[in-house]
Amino acid sequence: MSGARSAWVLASICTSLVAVSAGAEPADAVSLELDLARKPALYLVIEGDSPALSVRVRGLELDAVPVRGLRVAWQGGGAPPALALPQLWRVTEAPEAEWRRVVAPPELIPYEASLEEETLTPLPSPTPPPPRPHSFAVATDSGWRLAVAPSVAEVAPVGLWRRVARGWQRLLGEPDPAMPPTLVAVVAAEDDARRVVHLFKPGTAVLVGGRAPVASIRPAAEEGAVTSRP
Amino acid sequence: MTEPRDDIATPEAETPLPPAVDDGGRRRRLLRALPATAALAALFGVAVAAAIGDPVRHVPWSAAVVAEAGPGSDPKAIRRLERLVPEGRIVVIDSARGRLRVLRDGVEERAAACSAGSGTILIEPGNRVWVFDTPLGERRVIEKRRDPVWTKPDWAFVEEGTLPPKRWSERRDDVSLGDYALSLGDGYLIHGTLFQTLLGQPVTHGCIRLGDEDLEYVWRTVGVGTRVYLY
Repeated sequence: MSGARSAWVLASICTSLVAVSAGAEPADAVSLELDLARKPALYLVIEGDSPALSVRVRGLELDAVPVRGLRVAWQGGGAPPALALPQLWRVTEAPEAEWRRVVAPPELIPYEASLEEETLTPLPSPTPPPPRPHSFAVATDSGWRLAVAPSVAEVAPVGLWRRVARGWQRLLGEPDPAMPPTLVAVVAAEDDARRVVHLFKPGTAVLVGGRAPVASIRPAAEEGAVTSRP
Repeated sequence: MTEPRDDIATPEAETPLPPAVDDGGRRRRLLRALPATAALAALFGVAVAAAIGDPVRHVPWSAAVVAEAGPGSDPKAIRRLERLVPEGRIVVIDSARGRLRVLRDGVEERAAACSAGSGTILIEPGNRVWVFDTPLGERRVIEKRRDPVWTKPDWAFVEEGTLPPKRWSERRDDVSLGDYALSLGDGYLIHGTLFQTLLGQPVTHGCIRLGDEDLEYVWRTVGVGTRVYLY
């Protein structure tokens, strides 16, 4: 390779590297999704155009929870916090895990094969788990919280009394933990939050402001579900 | 010893006697005013607290979106994304709603009720902890077995309130898994069940349970290497 040609190749590489490192053009929604789809993990997409919480893998929409509306909740006066789209968030903290807890019997009795056959012998049983939550909020690495709930008030204390309580806390010199800005996906039914709560694990990617899926095998529409899908 | 002077009046002599005080009446008046005073104080407290407590507000997200970052979607990126979409036969499992689907090129061939992981945590008092989650994301069928035998792990006994037996022969169970099992790796199986009435409910320890007929269909239709998507 001639010296001039080598210099040209080197310059091209350097120019590309500079452009990439400078982040001249932020990634668009498809490029962000493309990076997610290259891996076998599930990811969630909050679409910008038609509100829905879409469950995807490899670019394929497996299911979607219909969303009545997306709301931004924040604490304090002034304008709402700015939300530039698209953004890729990662869940850093799973929802409250109390609903998952089951405690084994405090005392275990020695195993006997006959116990399995003798149905009349009552065996000590674990405590039944509480029901799954119908609303929840998770922390993300963006500084925002993401919540799924039938109403904003379920996840952001908007009432007068909560405001009074915060005021009293301040009067008494107690710390008032500020609520981070929260994106609330307001779902139509409580069951909608229950059926996706287990997907919000630490590390789960959420593409906020994503595009409609390139392919969907979403199950047949149920009552109240969004039906306009490719 | 000095005599008391007449020109210096003693207080007792000067001060007229106060009128007879009705202590009970004053107390009653005070008691009557108390609720109103307390209400005023509470209102004042509420007003002050509300004034200094930061309000939580909410708006439609369109009011918060300040910029649409990034250029228009690159057609090449869309084509690359489309190429990643799985083709051919796949199995899709909705663990929350207890539904298994077999699809071929996006067309549903079979839908079946199934049971997936309960998502609960079993805590052995003062000892071990087990989490009963069904794995999420993409997996593949890595093995198919006929007449599978289950070697019951410790949690299967603890959950039923018994100490795990020491003899391995007492852990052998050749009934619970049904006639067939498809392995998804890491010990997770698609298998049969004795508890067919619980199909559709998240009650398992992470495996996927199917009814007899659906299990046989999946066994015959789904080959080793088929991709399975769990959510």
